[in-house]
Amino acid sequence: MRKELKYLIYFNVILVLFIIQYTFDLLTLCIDDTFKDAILEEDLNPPPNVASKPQLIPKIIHQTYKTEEIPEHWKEGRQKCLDLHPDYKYILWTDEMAHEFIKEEYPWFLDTFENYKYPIERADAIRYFILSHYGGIYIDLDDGCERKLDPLLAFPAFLRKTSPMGVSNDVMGSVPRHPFFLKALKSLKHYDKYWFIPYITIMGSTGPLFLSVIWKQYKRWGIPKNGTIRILQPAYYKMHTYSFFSISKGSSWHLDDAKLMKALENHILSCVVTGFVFGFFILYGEFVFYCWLCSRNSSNVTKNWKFGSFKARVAATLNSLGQRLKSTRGSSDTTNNTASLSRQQKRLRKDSNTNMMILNSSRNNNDVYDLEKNDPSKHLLGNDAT
Amino acid sequence: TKCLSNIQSKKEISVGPNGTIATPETNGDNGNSSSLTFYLTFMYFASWLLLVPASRLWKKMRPMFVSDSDSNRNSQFDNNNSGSVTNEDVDTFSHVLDDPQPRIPAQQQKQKIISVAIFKYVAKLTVLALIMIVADLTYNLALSLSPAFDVALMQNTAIFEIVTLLYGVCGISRKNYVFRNFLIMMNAVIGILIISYTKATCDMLAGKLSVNPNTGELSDPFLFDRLKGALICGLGALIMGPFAVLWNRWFCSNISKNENSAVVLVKQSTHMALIGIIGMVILLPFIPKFPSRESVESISLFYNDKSFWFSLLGSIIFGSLPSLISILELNRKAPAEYLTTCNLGAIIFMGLAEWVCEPTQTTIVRWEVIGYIMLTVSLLVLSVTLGEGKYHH
Repeated sequence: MRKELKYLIYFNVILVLFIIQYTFDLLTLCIDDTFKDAILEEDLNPPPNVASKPQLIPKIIHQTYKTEEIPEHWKEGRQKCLDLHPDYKYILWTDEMAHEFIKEEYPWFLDTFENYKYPIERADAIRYFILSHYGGIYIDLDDGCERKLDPLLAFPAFLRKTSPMGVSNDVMGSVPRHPFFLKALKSLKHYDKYWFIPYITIMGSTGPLFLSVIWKQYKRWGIPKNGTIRILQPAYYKMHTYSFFSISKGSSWHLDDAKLMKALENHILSCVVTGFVFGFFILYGEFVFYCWLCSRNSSNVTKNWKFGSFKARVAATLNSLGQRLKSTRGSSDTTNNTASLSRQQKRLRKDSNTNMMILNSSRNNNDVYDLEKNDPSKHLLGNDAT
Repeated sequence: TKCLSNIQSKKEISVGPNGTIATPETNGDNGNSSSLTFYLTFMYFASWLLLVPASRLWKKMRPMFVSDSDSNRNSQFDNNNSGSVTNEDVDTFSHVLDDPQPRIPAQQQKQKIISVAIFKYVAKLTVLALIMIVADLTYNLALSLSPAFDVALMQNTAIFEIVTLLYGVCGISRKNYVFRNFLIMMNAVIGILIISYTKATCDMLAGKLSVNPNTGELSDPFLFDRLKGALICGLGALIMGPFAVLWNRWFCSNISKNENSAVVLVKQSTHMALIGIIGMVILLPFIPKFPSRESVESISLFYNDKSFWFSLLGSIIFGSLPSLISILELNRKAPAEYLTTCNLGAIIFMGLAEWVCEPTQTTIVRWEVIGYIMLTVSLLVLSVTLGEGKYHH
């Protein structure tokens, strides 16, 4: 195996291993195992003869917004939550409150918190801190309550399954200092990265993708005692008579690039094809580069890199056709020479290591040189006995 | 692909005047949901057994199609080698015994050499069968998740790319005009990309993707299925690269140029048939997975359905058999890398098949046509540049 090829293979193996290592959590997300931890019908509506489970999560509803001036289209959903849960404590976390809270309780995170590029990242981050600190249920302002949340208080923590994979952070519940949320807030600094595209940056640094990755990591090496997390299935989230929530018009943080992401979902096949085309471009490009490196060592192969030779062959083919037409009327010798050379070159390409010079001796005789039948050494310049 | 997709997408079958019955796939029986995929893979391998009679038939009929000069050449060759080209040449194990071995008079040692050779041969076939099982299972699995066109496009693109790459790296293809060919290939795959992008805007499944007016969220129940289907099919098809390389190394490199092409075809068909048998044996434990009496009844009814067998036979007779024989023929007559153009052609013909089979459901947009034109032109140029200079009979 040639040295260049070895280096290319080593480079690719290292690159692939690095990519796998870097995206391992994302890859594991493709395995959808949310059903294992799903909140089931019997958990939410236990039979009458079964004793009801103790409520673990404190009765607090948390919501966040910039100020206390909530937009009109979200007021109805919020009011529904308040009306359904008069026995719950309700806290609306404004930006100012959130900043003060982090400054006082988690000063080690203040720098990261203040330097988030997008405000929604702060809104995402604060919810993990307040759930970990106080416990309770966090609900996005665009989620209105449709039924009492009491059955959800029986679990140490719960998240909501999102489509197509992973969990979302728009509705969550937890006891104070739940190990999962402790892990999440400890990981925020590490995942605070800028990915150039706002949608990906927000999703990956503090949003649902971040939470899903942390959730996968949390489950990977076994869940600690009393640290279970249950997953609310989509049907219990919205759009059904027994769902806990309904959605108001929202998604306030979605920028224009979010539309692009949605458009990509429309063309999911082309997204996969793009990945394959890109991979092919990189790998075959490397192979072409390798061939170029090899060709530098053998001058005769250099001609393969010139488009001129292709044109010459096309011209030779056309000449050969013309010669055939002329041959009926008695063609000239010059055309025969061109066609003959063309045939010689064609034979030469079967063995790219053979120097063009070895044909010179046979060219004068206007015969076709066949590498497979003749001994090339006889035709080398200077060795031509004939 | 279209026939197999029809089978996979069949949700219920008619059982006479009593009405319809749901197929096992729709019963939500998880234990039985993959049985059809396994069964179709099994049937695909079974169809490889037909390669031997088909190639023998082709061998007999070949003189009718070839020109007089070729026919004379072949007949002359046959006469010259009368006695040497016999049925023994068609013997499955002959190629492994062709290796020059020291002639040891002792019968025991001779038998030992033969048994080692046979063991090696069976091991090679088993490796190829295992690779083929993975590729075919993922293909059938993808067909149960995605539309036929998506699967065909994804599979052929992946095979084209991996085979081109591995043939180059492993030194099977010639290293002539690699940069020029690279540009043409990139043009072809960009054409495929355009087709895949525009196809989503005009096929029926795209109509199922809608925006929830209340929430502004997308609701496409098949979005994740299509993603899974494309990934499963594409990644599964990548294993065809090693298959192609190993097939060329093990069963094509030792063919003599003086050997009669019809005899070689029969030999290679025999290898394929044996791979098919091994594949079926490996798949056997997975086939009769009937967890309940109800599913036994429904799956039996499913196989009793005429349209199931029509579709399956159609896919075998008009799809896999001609395709395999032509691939074997082409692999021998043209340079190895020339075979990759078949994958590009398959994508074009799949588009045509879609258009012919479902004319009322197909909308063609301008960029789709541009994509097909790019692909077709690249295919024609590639078929000239890759196939040049090495056609032999």
